[in-house]
Amino acid sequence: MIAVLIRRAASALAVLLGAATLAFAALELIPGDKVAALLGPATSASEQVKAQIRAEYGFDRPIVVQYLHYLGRLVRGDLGDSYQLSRPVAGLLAEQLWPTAQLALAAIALAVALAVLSAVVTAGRRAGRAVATAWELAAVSLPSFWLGILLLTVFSFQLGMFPVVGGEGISALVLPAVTLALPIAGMLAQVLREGLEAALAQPFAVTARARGLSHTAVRVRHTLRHATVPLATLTGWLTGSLLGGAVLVETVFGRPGVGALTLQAVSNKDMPVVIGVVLLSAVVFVVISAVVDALYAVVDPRLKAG
Amino acid sequence: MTPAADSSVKSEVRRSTAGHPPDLLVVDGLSVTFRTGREEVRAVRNVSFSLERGECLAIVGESGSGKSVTARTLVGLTGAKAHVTARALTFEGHDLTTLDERGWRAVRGRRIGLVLQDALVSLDPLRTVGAEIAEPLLTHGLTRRGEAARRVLGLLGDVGVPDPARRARQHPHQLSGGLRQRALIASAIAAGPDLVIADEPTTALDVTVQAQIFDLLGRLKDRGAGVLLISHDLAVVARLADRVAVMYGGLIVEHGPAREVLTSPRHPYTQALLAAVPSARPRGTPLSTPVARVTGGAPPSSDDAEGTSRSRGAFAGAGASPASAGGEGASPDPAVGGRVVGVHGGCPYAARCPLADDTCRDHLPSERQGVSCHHPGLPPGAPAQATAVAVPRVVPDAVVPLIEVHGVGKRFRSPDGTWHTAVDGVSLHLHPGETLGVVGESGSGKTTVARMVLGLVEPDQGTVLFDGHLWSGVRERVRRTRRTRIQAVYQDPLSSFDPRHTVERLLGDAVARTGTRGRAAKRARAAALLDQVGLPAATLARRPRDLSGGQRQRVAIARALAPAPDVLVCDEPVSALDVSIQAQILDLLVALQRDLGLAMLFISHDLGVIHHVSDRVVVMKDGKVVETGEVEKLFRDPAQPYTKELLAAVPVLPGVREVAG
Ligand SMILES: Nc1ncnc2c1ncn2[C@@H]1O[C@H](COP(=O)(O)OP(=O)(O)O)[C@@H](O)[C@H]1O
Ligand code: SF4
Ligand SMILES: [Mg+2]
Repeated sequence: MIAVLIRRAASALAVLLGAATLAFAALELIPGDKVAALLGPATSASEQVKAQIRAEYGFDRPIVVQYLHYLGRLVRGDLGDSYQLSRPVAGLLAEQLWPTAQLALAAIALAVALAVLSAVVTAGRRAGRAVATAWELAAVSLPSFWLGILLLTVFSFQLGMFPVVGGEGISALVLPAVTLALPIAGMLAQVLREGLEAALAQPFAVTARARGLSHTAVRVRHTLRHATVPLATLTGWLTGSLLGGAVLVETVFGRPGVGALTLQAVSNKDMPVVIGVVLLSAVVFVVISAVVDALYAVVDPRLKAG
Repeated sequence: MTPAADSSVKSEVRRSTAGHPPDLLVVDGLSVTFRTGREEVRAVRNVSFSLERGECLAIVGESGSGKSVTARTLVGLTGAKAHVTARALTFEGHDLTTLDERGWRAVRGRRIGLVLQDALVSLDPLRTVGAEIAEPLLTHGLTRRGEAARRVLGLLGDVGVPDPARRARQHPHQLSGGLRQRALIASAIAAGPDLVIADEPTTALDVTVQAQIFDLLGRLKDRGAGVLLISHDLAVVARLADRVAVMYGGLIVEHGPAREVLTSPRHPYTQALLAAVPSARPRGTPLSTPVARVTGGAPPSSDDAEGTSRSRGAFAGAGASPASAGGEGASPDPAVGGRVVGVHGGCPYAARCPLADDTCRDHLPSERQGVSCHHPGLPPGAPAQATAVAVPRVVPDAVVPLIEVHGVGKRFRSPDGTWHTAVDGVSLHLHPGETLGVVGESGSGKTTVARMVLGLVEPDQGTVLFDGHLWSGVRERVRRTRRTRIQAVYQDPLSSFDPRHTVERLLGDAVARTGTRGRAAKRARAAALLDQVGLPAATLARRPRDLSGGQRQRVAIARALAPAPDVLVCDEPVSALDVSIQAQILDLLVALQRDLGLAMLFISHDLGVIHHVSDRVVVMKDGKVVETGEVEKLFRDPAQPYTKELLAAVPVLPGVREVAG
């Protein structure tokens, strides 16, 4: 058990180190003056500021030393300053994290609820299956900015049910969460239904029916658990689509958050912030994977070591 | 189609409606047809039987004969693709055919308990054993949640699971096969059903565990439950069944009191089934019926019918397409399924029956006195035509053994880090031309010994000699030149074949290793090998996954014979096969061994099989040799208590005890 934990921690560290190294390498590979790249094209910094940056980053020193120095700062939680906003990146990210986390958690909850409902009701039933597969495919393939604009037009502009922009309160969360949730729900529902149908064909599902359980009870008490096992392979995809989706959704709905911050940083070539976001994504991925792994062992006792 | 009117069942139905308490279960004229795409599979055809409280009816037949479908129909779980019709289907006088889903749910688990085939996958692997057993109680509102745990412990105790508290908290994968089967039975009987249907409850279990399961079912019967027992093995049901119904191709071909059916079977199929039980026949007599035994020709057995059916009149134009092997996991030997028999009007058994004539092929026989056959009633145990009784070979002590195993031991590391001893100080000798049987329950170390003899596992202690030379503890380079002289046949031939290759390729590779070069030469040699194992040359073009279990095992034997070995190690070679096909494979092995003068190390957990093929026997338990000796003597007069226990647990047909020794 302890060996497993150590192995898991080591692989998490490897992912984080890899992300940090990639970010460092990206900065190195940008052609031209690194200081200019760090400052961005718009800024016309004085020579004094540039010299200050050079000293801070140690650009005059050998690359290995620079790299170690960079890692050392990361360990201390120092991600540098945003040159656009002249504030520490770590603080910026921390500020924007909560609105995004709210959005992501609401979207995940909604997606899981929709997916379970759609899969449990339609698995193994020919008619329902066709309808459900249709909406799921549509949800997966619709571009989320398009979906967001559609929802905005209908529910905000025309029906006036929800605010058009802004980040305050529950009502402002509804449309963005739906927009982010739908493609995820579509994908989850398909994987879940496939798992459910595979499990329903197993002898233990017939045994459960032979004990007098209803169709729905067999799905909820037995096969749903089996169907969640293949979901774990989707963890990476899920993390990616949450973060990528958040960028678009926050922009479309004018919400504050990491997504909005990222878009701003990228369009202004604010490299310290971009690097910060990359590292944050890596951390999110590691955390989600760890949570999923832990849940996995709870769901399937056969996976416990020994 | 002529309805196989079942007069005796009819009269029972009449009696039940004449004021007496109704029979527990009455099935009259039940048919189940599956529609998959264009095809129709008539899995159950006009089946009738009845069952009373405290009575056990056994339905016996080979796989694909429709037993499981019948069982599932009785709880309304045949699935959406099934079309079910019946003249009557009543349980305690209530008509089951009019039940809606809600009505069925009240019956399932509560009034009728079903023990599904294959206990290893019939319990939910993600839930605890306790939760599974409690489920029928909670579903039918018989227990409150808090009380369920206590009831579960009682039930586990009732079915003889030791340490119920611990077992209830465990998951199915932590239980042995026998314990899982008992847990499954506990969940089926938890709500106290009046009818228990047990589908192959002891297949794949060791004999002693088998005996315990039957005792358990016997106690249910004594308590007044009706037991519907399903099995492919006639000998196994003998100890429990009051009445027996034999199924073939979806039809009940013979039924009657167990004693009558088992001692004087009248339908040719029942006779063949009984003859195939190894412990019921004198050693040396062939197990399979004469026609099925004609090798090289066209054996119209279920095992081989598919490969040859197109050349036989009975199937001309019958649409027995070669593709019928695909797509049905339920029936490894598809020629006996409803598909082939459903498309022509004659007796389903005609393709395999030695007595078949044109009447049989054109007209479905109707039932008379419990038998559906145009030519019933051959006396039982008619002497087989070819009684090539092999005289037990007495090997003079002077002959140098081919294989000598001296005090070998082997320990393995379990996943939890502890060591466990698989083999402990085992010694045995195998002489040229002799068959040495190794028998023991699963986990007794048989396979590890076999792998040491094959040079695949190095013993921790002791030595293995092959032909007088050191065979264990030497370098692979030394062994390689002699490896081809020892060949192996395993339980599951698919696992040792690449399923994508054709039989020609599989055999060709083995032939090439003996130095045969050139496509034509390899092909000719491969065809000769197939002929030796009784398969037509046309088999060369086929792939293992399209072959039936028996055909695959024949291909595996052919491949093992390719390098003309001196020693054949057979590890449970017939354990995965139906008895009738098992019989053919055993006959083949015995014949090959005799003709080729092979030395055979034959491993099995089945004493009947061991008795039939072996000259001498080694009994193993917990990695040690318990007893060894000449086969007849050991079976007649076992010295060790464990051997006695094993022998006592062997299912014996009534009236043949003395034959089995
Ligand atoms: N769900 C199904 N769909 C189509 N065919 C089936 C289905 N279930 C069983 N069968 C067919 O019905 C026949 C009888 O099967 P089964 O009752 O499982 O045999 P047994 O239990 O005697 O081995 C076989 O030919 C099998 O392939
Ligand atoms: S009816 Fe004919 S073919 Fe069928 S079992 Fe009887 S004798 Fe054989
Ligand atoms: Mg079956």
